[in-house]
Amino acid sequence: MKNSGLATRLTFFILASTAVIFVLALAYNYYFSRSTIMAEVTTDARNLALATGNKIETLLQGVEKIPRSLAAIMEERPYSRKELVRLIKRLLVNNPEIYGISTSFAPFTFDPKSYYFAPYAYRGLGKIKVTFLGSNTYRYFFLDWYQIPTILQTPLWSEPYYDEGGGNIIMSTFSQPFYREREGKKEVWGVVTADVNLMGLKDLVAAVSIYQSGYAFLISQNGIFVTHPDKRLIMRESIFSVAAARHDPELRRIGRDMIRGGHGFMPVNDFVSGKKSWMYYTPLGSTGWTLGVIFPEAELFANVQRLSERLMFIGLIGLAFLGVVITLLARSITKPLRTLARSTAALGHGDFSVTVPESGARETRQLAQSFNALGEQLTEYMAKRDFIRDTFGRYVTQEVVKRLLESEEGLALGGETREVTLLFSDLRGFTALTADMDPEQVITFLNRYLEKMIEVLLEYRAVIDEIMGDGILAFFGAPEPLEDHPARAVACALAMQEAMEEINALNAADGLPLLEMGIAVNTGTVVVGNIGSERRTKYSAVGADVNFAARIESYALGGQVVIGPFTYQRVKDMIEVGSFIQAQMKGFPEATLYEVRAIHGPFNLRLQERREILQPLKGDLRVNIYRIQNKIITGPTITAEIIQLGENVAVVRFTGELAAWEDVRLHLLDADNLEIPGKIYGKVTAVAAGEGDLREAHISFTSVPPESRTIIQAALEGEPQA
Amino acid sequence: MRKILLFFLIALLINASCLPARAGEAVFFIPQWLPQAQFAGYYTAYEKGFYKARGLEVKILKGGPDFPVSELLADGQADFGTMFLTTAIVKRAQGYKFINIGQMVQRSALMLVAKKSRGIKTPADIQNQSVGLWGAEFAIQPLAFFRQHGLKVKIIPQSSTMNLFLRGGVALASAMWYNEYYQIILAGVNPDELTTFLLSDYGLKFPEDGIYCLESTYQKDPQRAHNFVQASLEGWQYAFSHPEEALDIVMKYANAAQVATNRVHQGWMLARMQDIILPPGSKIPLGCLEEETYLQVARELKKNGLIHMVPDFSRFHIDCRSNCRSGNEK
Repeated sequence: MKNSGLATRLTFFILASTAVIFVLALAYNYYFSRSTIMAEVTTDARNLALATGNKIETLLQGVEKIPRSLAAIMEERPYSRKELVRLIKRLLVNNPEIYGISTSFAPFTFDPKSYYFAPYAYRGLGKIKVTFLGSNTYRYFFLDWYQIPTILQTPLWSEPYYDEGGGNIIMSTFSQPFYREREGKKEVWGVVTADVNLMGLKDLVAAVSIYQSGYAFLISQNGIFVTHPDKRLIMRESIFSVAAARHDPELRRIGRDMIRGGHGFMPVNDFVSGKKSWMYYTPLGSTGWTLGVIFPEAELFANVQRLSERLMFIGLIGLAFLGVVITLLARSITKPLRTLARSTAALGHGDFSVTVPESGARETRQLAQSFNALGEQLTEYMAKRDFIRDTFGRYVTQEVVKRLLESEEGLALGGETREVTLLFSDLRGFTALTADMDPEQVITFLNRYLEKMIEVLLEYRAVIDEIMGDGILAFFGAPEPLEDHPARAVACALAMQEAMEEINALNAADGLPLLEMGIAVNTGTVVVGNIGSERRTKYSAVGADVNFAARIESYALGGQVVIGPFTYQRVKDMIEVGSFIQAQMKGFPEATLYEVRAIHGPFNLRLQERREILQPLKGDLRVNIYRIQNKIITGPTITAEIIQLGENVAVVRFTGELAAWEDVRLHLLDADNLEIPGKIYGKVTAVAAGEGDLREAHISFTSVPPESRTIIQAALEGEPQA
Repeated sequence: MRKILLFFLIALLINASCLPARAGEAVFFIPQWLPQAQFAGYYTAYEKGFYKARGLEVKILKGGPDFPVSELLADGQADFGTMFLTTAIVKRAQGYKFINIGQMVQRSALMLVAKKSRGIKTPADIQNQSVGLWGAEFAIQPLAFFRQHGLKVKIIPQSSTMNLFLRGGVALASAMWYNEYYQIILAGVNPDELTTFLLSDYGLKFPEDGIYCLESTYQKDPQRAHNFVQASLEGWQYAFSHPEEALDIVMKYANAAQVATNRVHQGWMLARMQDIILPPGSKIPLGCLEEETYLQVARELKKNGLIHMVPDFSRFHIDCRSNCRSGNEK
């Protein structure tokens, strides 16, 4: 049951309850019907027994009347022997129900000389005969019919006996004592008797029939069967011998009540068949005998039994039908539930598209609706979540998002010390470049650049720490530990530079200026973690090495990837280095930086050779140089002469102050020394002393506007200036 | 000479003192009452072929009040019959030449029964009560009992039924333990409602049923008498060890004789017969009559005037339990 299904439980409990109710109702019906029948039958049996008893009693009382009257007559006056004989003969003639009549006197009381005197008239073969009882072999004073009534001085019926004459005639004698006065005392003078053939009673009793096999019987005062349908019992067995043979003390108890003149309605086992039966018994007046009416219980309750059996049958069919209905009903309930369970499991496994049919009972329908709504909401929620993750992922890597989304600890503030490789990139002269552009153009311009860069960065599994305008700070090796984070960072930087070609091609097509990006890569130990407040946090890296990397970045020229000494140590075996830079950075000891050209190994990337070949300019090309410090033009404008020129590099001769790694803005001048529109940004890479106070400086361009590019191209091809 | 020697040898071998039983000649036996378990041993011996096995062609005659055993024996209608010891002594004293060839019932089954409701619980309670007594020999023990206890009673002649007692016409009644006592029980009176005085418990042993024949019958063929007694004893032993089978046999005879009885009653009777034929703890061998007991009975009979002289025991009893020896000694 514990593990059973709803259908089984429902079927079991409903069927069990219904069966219990049904059985109770049936039992009630059965017992009610039984008791009703019982009550009716008790009455029937009693009436039947009483009616039969009355008939018997009427008959016996008719017999009793004769000795009673005769006894009274005897007491009136002495009769002669002749008179007596005539009297009893006449009485016998007139009372056909009597077999014989006697007037039996006590010893020597009729005739002082005669010990016996007992004239007896009886029905001989076809005629009435008279004999005188009493002899040495028939001492009637000591026979029951004489002795008992005279001793007890009461009229009574003798125990039934077989007729002396033989045959199977059962007789009983009614004896009425008669008295005389003797010395002032009343004494028994004799008895008047009337013999009755009980075979007549037998027919009367046998006429009783109740149900199919119910019958009546008669027992004597000693409990002996006088009449019974089974002849073997008659005059041989008593109700007590049956009880003894059956070891049935209850029957003996009933028997005792019967012979004591009790009456009742009792369950007994039939005396012959042993069948469970009911018996009504009632005493038969003055005889001391008992009439019993007995009938098998099976017959008594046959109708109730039959009805109960039918009801049981109907009930079983009903239960079976109910069982089928409940099973079907339960299935109709559980089927959607099972579907729902399967769907929920599917939902649990991430299939939010599953739906269940919204049909069936109201509650089922509601459940299905709720489930489907849940699915939709989950789909929506997941879409939102994906949107958030995707959006988020533009700025942070999947790794971080995953980590944040998947673990509660991921969102916990705090950090850990990790060795990571940091990557800084920045567009050269971007601020100045975009100063004159309209804002929408700036955004398009910037987004095109950032989109591509982020794509490359994510591809190399970088964590983008921060995007500040055109500058990107990313790191490798946290939170996802990456063994090869230095090499990966270098490769990523090279790939980003490579991607710039693509961006510039698009920009050129849109008439936008060429962009140059410098990238610095440095490996160092930093603290990584969720930095911020509860409301706004970001996974970020902090530490001196972050600042160090930022410093290095200022040494990277457009198109260059510059790595710090720690990164170099880790990747030197797999990279090709272009040039070294001895960098003196504020707050840091002097360090050697390396310009990376290519990386081998699994990444295998190589930057395109740039045409950095300087050619001496035939014509005269001058520029104004503005020094830029912290994006602000400082100091006097330097007018210089370009003495050598490359596509992105120039050697100028000037007077004034310029320092290596200083940011500058160049304006090409026309013949009239007027500035030609178009600002070129660049970085001073080296300064050398020239002739006199003239000095020569190497400037790498970081941003060249198209109009300036045209002039430079023309100059390089030796064409006269426009 | 040789023939004579052979004759003597044979005579010695077959116990020349006994004449050989005559096979094939019918032997008539009469029990003293109607067929009932009181005679189960004889009916069983007959039905199981124990008589036949001893070369006896026994015919059991129907007994009963109309067929007094003493008369049938005396006039030769029966060879063997059963009688009460008292009856037999009386008859012997009267001149009948009956001899006891086997004493079956060792103790008396005669008792006085009273209803407790009449306040009778001890012999002393019988004082001045009315008592139903059967005639003649049956009255001897009760009278001895009353004398023993110094009781005066009103004697009422008792009929063959217990109805007078059952209806309350007498305070006490005579009853045979195996028969009338159980009739009272089967008339609905419970044993615990009755007080019984089993007279043998009061020193009145009075052995009852024994097997009798005329002296002449015995002398004519002692071996036949011995065979009869031995087969009868075997019949009793078989009946006691196979009571249901014995009851079947008894009921067969009772039904044939239209005796108004029932199996339960006969079952009771058979069980009581065992109690009085083989009394628990008794040392008297089955079938034996002790002289001392005989004399006690005879003296009581004399005391009651039923006999005037005590018949000689040695001429009255022959022990036929073994192959005739005692009989030959006389």
